Amino acid sequence: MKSSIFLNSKDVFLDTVSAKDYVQLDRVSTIYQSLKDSVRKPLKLILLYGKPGTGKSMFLTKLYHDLSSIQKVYIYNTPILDESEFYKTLAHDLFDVKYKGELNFTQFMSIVNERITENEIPLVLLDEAQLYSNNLMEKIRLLSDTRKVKFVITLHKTEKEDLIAKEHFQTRIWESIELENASIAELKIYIQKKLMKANCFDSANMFHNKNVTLIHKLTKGNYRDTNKLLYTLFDIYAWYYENNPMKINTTQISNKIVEMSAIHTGLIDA
Amino acid sequence: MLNINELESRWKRYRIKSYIPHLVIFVSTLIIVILSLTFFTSNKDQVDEMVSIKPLELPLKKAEIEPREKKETSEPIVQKEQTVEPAHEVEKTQIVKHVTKSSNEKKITLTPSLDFMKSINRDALPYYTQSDEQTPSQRENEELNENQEEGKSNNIQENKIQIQKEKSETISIKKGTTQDDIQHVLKRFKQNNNPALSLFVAQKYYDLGDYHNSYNYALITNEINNNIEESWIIFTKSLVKLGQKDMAVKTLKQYLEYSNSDKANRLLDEIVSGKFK
Repeated sequence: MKSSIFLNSKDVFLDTVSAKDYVQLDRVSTIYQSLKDSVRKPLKLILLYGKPGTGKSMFLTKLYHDLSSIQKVYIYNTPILDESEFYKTLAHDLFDVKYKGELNFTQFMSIVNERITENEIPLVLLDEAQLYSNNLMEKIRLLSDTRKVKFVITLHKTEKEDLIAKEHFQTRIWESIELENASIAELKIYIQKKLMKANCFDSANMFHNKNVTLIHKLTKGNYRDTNKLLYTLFDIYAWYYENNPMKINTTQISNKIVEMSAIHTGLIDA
Repeated sequence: MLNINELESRWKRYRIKSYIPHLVIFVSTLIIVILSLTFFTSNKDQVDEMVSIKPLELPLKKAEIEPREKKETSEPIVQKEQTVEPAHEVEKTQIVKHVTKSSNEKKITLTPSLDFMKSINRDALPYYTQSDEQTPSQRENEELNENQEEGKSNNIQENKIQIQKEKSETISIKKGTTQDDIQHVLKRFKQNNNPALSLFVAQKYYDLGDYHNSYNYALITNEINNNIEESWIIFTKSLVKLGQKDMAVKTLKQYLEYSNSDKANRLLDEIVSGKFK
């Protein structure tokens, strides 16, 4: 086993959102399929929510990647907080209209009515929707009510930002999908599939049940935390391999190094 | 950039910290177990003490409670008047009842003790028979007297059971050859100074071959009552066994001066002829 294996394995767990990094797990696949089905339905607004690190952004990216070849899909990973800027960006991307100066909701609606065709309703994917102001969210809701634009929005399921609880969203959202953390079995599949996709078979085989159980205990099945932890883990393995190879066992992940990684990433307060 | 050495030392600290709760739980569990064991054993001792005391207390309680209950429950008006009587009067009537009952018991309870003595006689020398028959009966009389004085029970049947139990205890003492049995009788002897008990002890020691003690207790018995034939005989036989044959002959002759005991005569002949050594 070469140290490059550990370095390659480390890179697998870089915290990036890319459709090619999407790992197909049974439960996640089912949820993703239901999201795709919902998009095909004449729904006005689809809400995707869950705790941070449960894969909402990945879902949205994957959806964009899969649908972009079939229909008009637009993704906004970073929220556009200014209202006028938001309308101008949509007008430009959806209808190819460049607007100079301030664009208000009424003006934007007139552009929508002029340019939209019945056959092709654009799908707008908004990530981190909890960052939008209530006022702008209300406009988005009004826009979706016209059935001229369809929205899929993702937001964190937090007490402060729980928009589902708000009455106007409760009555209008037709489909809401919750994403959850992985179970131990799912986490093992996630780790091994991710490594195997990058041809890191040796390091994938190093994960045994007791390692995954410990990782799950530390990360609570959160994908983002797992990525962070495993990135550090392989970084430590690479260091040992270079400097003190006698201290590591290359056939099985050491729980000591898992805990050291957790200490480094702050998952363990030591 | 990773600082592995620092990370390793932080990990070691973390491991030590993580063991602390387990250690605390283990130590506290150990302490709890030790404390509970100590508590349990001390409690057990107390319970044992209570159990040893209870048999003495129970009959008293029954004696106090039962008659009052009877008077309160089954009651024509006339009897209600009796309940108005002071408690000491009630107790008096109880004692009277008890005395009459226990005097009846004497006749009843003598029979098994005689059987017991007969069984002893089969194993012992023939001239022990008469005195052996006396000993347990005297002891029982003494016990009955004790019971009367203490007023432990009102119920005749209860008394019977008690006496029979005590008899069975004496049987076990006779059959047993342990020092504990002798100590048990000695304890009772110290309480009531009954010569029958000291004679029993003398006989027991003689049977066990402890002639020194059999001599002593025969002497003690003689001091309390010098008319007990068996005490003279055990005394004399113990002297012979201790090598004081002349003294034994002299003592027996003194006894025969005012007694016509056949048994004593026979023993004297046997000692003089050397048949009894």
